[in-house]
Amino acid sequence: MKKIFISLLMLISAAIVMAQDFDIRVFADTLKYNWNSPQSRYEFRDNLKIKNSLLQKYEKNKINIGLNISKSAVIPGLGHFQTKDYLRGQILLSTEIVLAGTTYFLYDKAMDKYDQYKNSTQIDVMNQFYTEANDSFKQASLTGFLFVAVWGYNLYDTYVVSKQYNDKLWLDYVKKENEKRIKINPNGITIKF
Amino acid sequence: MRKTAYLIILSAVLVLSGCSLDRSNPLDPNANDIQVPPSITGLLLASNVAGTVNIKCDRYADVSKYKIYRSLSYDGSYLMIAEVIQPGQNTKPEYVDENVQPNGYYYYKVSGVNAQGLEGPISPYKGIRVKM
Repeated sequence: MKKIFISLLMLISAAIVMAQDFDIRVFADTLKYNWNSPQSRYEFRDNLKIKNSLLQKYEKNKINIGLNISKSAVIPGLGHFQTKDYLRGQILLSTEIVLAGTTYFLYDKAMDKYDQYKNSTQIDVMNQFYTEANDSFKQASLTGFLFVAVWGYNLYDTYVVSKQYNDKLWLDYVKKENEKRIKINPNGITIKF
Repeated sequence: MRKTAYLIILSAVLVLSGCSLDRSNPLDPNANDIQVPPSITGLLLASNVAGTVNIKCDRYADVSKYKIYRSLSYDGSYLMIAEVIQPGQNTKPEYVDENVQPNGYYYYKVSGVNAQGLEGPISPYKGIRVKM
């Protein structure tokens, strides 16, 4: 019991020694944010208000990058259409359609020849059908690989384009705000010439 | 960027080299222990009797039957007209084609089929004019 009392006493003493004095002048220092005058404080507050309203507008209109990538995953190029990058979207979409169609056509041809190979009993016919089936299958594999590669690039590019779109959107809002000639704020009306 | 391009090219090469179809035909000699029947030689055509063609070829021991093909032109499509069972030793396989027009030109080819059912290479053609 005595030991506990002594320990508590020591702790309290240490806390008193270590404690700093609360200085109201430091706490209320208006210069710490470079507010040299009430005017600068009002300007800071106005800017904060403007930026907040811009941020709300931006949040409402910005593109959700994850959702945009998902859209591009389902339909290649759709993410680009969302960012109004129509040319790249059209190129990616048409490339994927052509590659998918070619892959399907070649694979179907390969399987058709392969069935003929499996049913053939004459050595020359068998070898000919096998060679044709294998050639078509390899071509289908190549176009299928290209399809997957373009699809992957489409996802990556959607990420880049969406990010660029959002960055541009924010810069546009800031630029438009700065270009406003007349501003109404608690300090009064500001007119730029 | 260059690294990515190399990676894509390398992947494409790997895909192409790794992709091939299985030789799943049970008669395929490349996948099974089957001997390809020899190319039949010694094709002989004769038309000694009017309106018939006599076809003979060399006998091969590892052939169980012979297939005979006929066409109206040497480079036309040849249709199989008969299968001749392997004759006894020292006897040449023979077939008499009576389904021909007198004075007509006909072209023949022949191939051998082994016991498993695999047909060997088809011989070069030979042509004949049928006796009137």
